[in-house]
Amino acid sequence: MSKLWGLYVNEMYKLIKKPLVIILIVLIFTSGLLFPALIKFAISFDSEPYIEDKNTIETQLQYYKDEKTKLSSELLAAIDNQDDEYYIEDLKMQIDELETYIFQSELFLELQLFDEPEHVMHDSFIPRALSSLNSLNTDIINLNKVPEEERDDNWAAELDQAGKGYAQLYDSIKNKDFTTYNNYQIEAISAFKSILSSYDAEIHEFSLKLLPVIDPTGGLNGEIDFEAANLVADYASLLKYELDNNVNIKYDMIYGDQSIVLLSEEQRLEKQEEYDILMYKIENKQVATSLPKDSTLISSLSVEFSNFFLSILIFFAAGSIVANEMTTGSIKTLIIAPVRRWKIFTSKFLTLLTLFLVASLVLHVATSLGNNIFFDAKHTAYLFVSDGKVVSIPGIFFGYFYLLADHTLLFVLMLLAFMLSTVSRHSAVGIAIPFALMMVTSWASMMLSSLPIAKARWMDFLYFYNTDLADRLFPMHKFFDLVTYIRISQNIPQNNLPSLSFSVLFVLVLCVCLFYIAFDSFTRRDIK
Amino acid sequence: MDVALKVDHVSKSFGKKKIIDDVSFELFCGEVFGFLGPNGAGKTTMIKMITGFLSVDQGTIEIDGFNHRSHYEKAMASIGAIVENPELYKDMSAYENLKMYARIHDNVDNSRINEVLDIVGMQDHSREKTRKYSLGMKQRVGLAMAILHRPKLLLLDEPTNGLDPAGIRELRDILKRMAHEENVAIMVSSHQLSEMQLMCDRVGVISYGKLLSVNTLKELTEMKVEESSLRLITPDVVTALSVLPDELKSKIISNTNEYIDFRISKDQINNFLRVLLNRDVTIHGIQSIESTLEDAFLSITGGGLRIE
Repeated sequence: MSKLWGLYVNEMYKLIKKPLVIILIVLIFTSGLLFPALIKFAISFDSEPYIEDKNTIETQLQYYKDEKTKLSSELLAAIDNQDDEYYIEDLKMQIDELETYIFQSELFLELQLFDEPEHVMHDSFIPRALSSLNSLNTDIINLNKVPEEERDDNWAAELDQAGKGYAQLYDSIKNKDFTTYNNYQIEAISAFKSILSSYDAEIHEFSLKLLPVIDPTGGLNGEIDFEAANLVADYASLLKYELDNNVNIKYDMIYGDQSIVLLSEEQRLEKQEEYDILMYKIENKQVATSLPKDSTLISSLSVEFSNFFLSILIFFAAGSIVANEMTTGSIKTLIIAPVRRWKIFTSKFLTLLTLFLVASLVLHVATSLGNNIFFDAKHTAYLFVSDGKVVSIPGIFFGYFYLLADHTLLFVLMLLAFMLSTVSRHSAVGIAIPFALMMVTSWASMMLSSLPIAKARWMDFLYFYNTDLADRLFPMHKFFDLVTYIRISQNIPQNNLPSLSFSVLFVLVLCVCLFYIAFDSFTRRDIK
Repeated sequence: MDVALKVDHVSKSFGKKKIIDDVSFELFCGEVFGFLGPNGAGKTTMIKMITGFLSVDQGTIEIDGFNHRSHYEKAMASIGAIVENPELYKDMSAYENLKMYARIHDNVDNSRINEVLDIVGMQDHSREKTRKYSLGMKQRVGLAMAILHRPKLLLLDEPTNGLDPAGIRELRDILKRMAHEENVAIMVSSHQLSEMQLMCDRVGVISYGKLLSVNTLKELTEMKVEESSLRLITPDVVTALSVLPDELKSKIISNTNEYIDFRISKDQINNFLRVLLNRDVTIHGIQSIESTLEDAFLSITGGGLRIE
């Protein structure tokens, strides 16, 4: 073993003595670290969103009022002149619209909403509350327009309810009180229960109860977008309903159809895991970590960018670790040494494995640091269910495991480079072929999936249908971007990939074959 | 004497071509063994089989009593070698190369590295990258690597390549000292007959993959040889070449404008000179041009092959 260790140390020493290896590792690190900085610099030229100030709103309000006076005069004249009824209706609509604007502008000024931060006016419950308030205001105006002879008890009850709702919503906006707003919504659902289906009512009710748990501020603290919180709450409610009733509810986004079928056992387990994890995230205030941020995209872009240098490094090392020694003749020093060839081979393989792990770690650390420094990004813990309990892997470790799983293809191609360079004893062959395969893989898989042919059984044996393992080994990674998953992934038809166990077995067999061919060639062939 | 290397009926083919054909010999501790043969005779192939570069098709090799196949690591632990040119890692210094080599041997420490650098006279350049080294310097470092772990058997393939005369002399002294004082068995393959003569205790002659003879130097120099090599010095080389009958022309090895080298039996010398004198070819002199060892070598190999 001591000789194997000595050989391994020697191989590592030879590797770090190669200037190109050092240059590529530095490039991986700097590109991972500085790519987010470049993006930050590029988006710094984006203009700030426009927020209306007090003077503008006052000017607008005056304009709306003047317009309303003008149109009101026109309306009176039109009625007097018994003009075309469509013209009169149009004028009334324009005046109603202006009244809405006037109401909104006055509310803005009254509650001094122009002083609020951008996220309060865009990403909290306030825009929804304002919209509801506006509707209620219109309802009240319309109710007040009802001729006295038509007013009855129902009218009085409706006006009373609208008035109470208005007061509740007004207070919630004025006091930035999400609880009041949410209670109003819950009461509204109860009031309308009679006209809602039990399915809708149950889902909405549970969703509204979840909202304050997800974010008690309703988006006011700027951490969770209120629309995203709604989406998450709705999805959790839908899952609960499906599990409680053992049904699978599917929406067709294109045609708007809804289908309800019984849950299969597999679907039930999958949905149960999703529900458990979602509830765990909600109850442990972790929803914020699962929402899309600039850094999510930047992080994956910087990994992609640095991956280019990583691939060159891995193929260069794997393609030359044996072939270069054969070409320069330095292999003689190793062959003469009192060690069996399998030990030399193993030391070289272990060196490549170390390089693969270390270079991936460098990439992970650099991109994590870069995203943390420039986008304040933090790692999200990975959650999964084991024996009915939610288990968490700390984000910093999970990020690395996920990256390694995402590099399955790179690992297979590294072995291919190693095998080709060992068999051909020419580093050019060992480097060029895997690199070309790397380049055409995404293109080939895209072309095949876009062809109007059914996926045949033999296609399961194409390597690129089996090397994309990261999301399949870590299925709950989809919850790292809940919004996108809920909005899009759910509605994408299931891709027709081979089963996970088939893919893992396929990759293992492929790796063993490549390893064995290289091993056999290295240990048995003469060195002339 | 202890047997350091035992080669027993070893054969090796590349495809259908037999490169080594049933070769057997032994190498004893404390001797320098010369492995003589023209290019392509199988010298390097034999060394590559002993050092593990090439597999052995038939026969067995034992090193220091260990079977080369069944106890590979123990057998190889006793070997130090330079095969063809010493190839070093160019991005590293001589010291780093030796340090790496030391990691895969037992009982080699830093002081031993410095010791071998002193032995081969490379201490002053040991920290320079080897890509800057001349061939001679590389040979010295190669020798340092070969002796680093104090091997019982040292195999050197053309070790004087690239060395200047002083270097060759130095190497010769080192090898002789190692053999005679440290009891190391040394096998040297070379086509430098003069070197062999000065360095070796025994010489094995190989040709077309067959080991033709193994003799001590004394036996070789005392060997009765049928033919000897002579140089005829004449200003009329062209005339001389044109007048010689075919059977005598076949005895010519080479010629310049000033002389003709030929290999001829003593009985034929009179006839050879008579033909030339009869045709009025001017002869300025005639001299023996080879050592006795080469005569013996050519006699053993049948004279059809020539080495320098």
